[in-house]
Amino acid sequence: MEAEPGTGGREQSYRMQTVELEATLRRARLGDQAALTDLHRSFAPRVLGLCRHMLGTLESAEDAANEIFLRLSKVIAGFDGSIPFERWLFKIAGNHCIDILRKRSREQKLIVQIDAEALPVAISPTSPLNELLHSERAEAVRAAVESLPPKYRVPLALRYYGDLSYDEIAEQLGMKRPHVATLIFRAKQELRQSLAAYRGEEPA
Amino acid sequence: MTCFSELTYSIWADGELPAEEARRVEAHLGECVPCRLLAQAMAKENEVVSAALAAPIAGHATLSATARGMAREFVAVAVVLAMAGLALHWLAEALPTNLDWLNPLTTDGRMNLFFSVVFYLRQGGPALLADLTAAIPWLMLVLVAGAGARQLWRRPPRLRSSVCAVSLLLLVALPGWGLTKRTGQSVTVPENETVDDTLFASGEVVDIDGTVNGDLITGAREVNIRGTVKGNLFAWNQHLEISGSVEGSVFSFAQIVELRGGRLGHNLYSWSQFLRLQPGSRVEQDVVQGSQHSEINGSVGRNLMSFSGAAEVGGDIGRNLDIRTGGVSLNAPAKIGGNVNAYVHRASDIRIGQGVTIGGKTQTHITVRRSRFTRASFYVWKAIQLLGAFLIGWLLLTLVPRFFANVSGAVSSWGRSLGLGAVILVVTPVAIVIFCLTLIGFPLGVLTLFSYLSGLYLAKIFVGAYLGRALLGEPQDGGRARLLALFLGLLLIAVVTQIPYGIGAVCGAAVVCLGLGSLGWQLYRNYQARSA
Repeated sequence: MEAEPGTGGREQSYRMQTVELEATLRRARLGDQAALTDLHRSFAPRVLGLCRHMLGTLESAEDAANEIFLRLSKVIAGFDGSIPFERWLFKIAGNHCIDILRKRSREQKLIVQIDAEALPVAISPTSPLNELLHSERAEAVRAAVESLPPKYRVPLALRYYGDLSYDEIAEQLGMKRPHVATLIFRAKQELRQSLAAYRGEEPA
Repeated sequence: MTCFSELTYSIWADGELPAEEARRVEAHLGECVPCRLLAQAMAKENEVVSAALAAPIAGHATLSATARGMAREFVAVAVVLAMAGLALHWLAEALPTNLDWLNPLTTDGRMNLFFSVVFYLRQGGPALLADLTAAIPWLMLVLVAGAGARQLWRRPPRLRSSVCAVSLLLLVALPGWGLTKRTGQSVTVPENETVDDTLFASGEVVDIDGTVNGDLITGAREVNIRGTVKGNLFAWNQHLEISGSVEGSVFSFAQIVELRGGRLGHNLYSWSQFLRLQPGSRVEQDVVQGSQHSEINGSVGRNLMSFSGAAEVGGDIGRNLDIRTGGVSLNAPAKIGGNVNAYVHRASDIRIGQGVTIGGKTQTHITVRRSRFTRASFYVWKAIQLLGAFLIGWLLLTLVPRFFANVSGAVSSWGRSLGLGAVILVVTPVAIVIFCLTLIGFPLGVLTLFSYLSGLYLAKIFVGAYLGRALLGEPQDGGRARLLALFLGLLLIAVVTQIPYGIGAVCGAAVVCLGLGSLGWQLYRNYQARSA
């Protein structure tokens, strides 16, 4: 009973937002600086979050987010409205962050090209995270994601923060879809292990 | 049918299986309980990860990271301060002992500094600037050491850990205090004996007939000083009598303090029931005293500042006499070099006898006791205080919403909070004093003091938030309702604590205890969660 009107309201406000957003996007595509500023204001925190999760430090994330929005005026013409704007923006941001990660000298082989089959897919030594709803725990999850190696962190951030599909992630990382599935699966296994260590539990 | 791989369930939970395969998986999940539980847990896990990652970047995570960074810096500064303190302590050994009171890094130096600052703020005498300058090297030291710690902390971790190791070693290798301890039924330093160190004496009766070259710290029922103390005297007694000389300052907390022809080289700070300076006794510098009854018939080199139920002054005061009293009489042969400032309730409360000479002006300030409720300024101040508390509460609500909610929620277990709060309220000041008395613990003591004062201030905000929520019910739409609840709660506390006849005071104490207890409890819980 209570959920229904709530959902309806959210949908409506989303639609209103969308209408407003479309107008802003139209103006932005015509090179309206104010519209670009509006876009920056409404999407900067989300983009910063994605960069933060992908790049690991707030400083580099802030730099990256700024660069992304600077580039936006040039690339926004390429936005055709076939996918939601945020998703499109996340793809741009994801690409940018992957470029940065690749440029970091030693991380050239960030995403190692391995056959999906070659990755051992063992049965998890730990059970899925389930009691991690507390805020302290959420912080622990974030910290654990941060400490993952980039090859796991990047697809995880793109999937669960950016909400991109396996196909979109595969395209960004230049790999095959099954490989993405495996990476994400392995990333979560790693996550469980490091969180088990955080909780001081023996991985059982 | 055989079970699918865990990877398949992971892909299914991500909603990325092709439709046909997804149907087969779901069919299997309908039959196989372990697989269903696993797949459900994986879907739930995805939600948890999404939720954790989605939390705003500038909010909780970075804030607590900053707090962690700050805590680290605090520890670093404390360590460096402790090291610098040690170095200075060694240096101070080279100083003549009777200059110790000038050294701000000794306990007595700090006490002297503290009382001097209080006196200076009240009195404004430029002569007291000399005492205050003792604070400057100390402040510089803090600044330099703090900056040094910051620099060190930015270096690579190996250096950092070696700094920690060195400071730990230094802590372990604490130098001797040069403290002699004597306890017993009666402690006596006979006429021909000289104690070279600081003497700590406790017992029923302490008699000093000889010489103490350091400070004298006593906790005896009765203390008689007929000999000489070259340093300062700290006394917690029932009866303190000085007929010999103390070359430093006297800090006393006693029922009766009596100078019978004794001589104090510096200041006398006394809080007592009766204070008597007999004729022939002399304090070279200032006297700051609070007592029920005081008789000042000896001579005071500089100022006399007195809070006294009843006071008699018949001696020689070099500079000003400042007195806040229920009644004061100046009798011959009293001689005041400077001004007389008296704060009394009626003009008849001050009597100046024949033959009294006053070098400066005599000012009598009549303070009429009126109900504070009749003054407009009272309401203005209360409103400002209320607003301040509200703004701080708002800030907390914005910065640490969950912690705030947890603490104010903990108020509901009022028994636990009240008990714990009362313990914190009483134990913390004792701990601070103990910390401050040890050289190493001084930064820790200051840190604890600041935390304690902040806790005292924040207590009513947490209780206010709880009361407001109890009044208005659980807020539905977050932000604004929570602020309204907080404001109402604070207003309620502000009103209730003003009830006269001690009821308000009791309520105020209860609020402080409740808030402190809840805060303490939640901090403990957080600590537990973190270390678990």
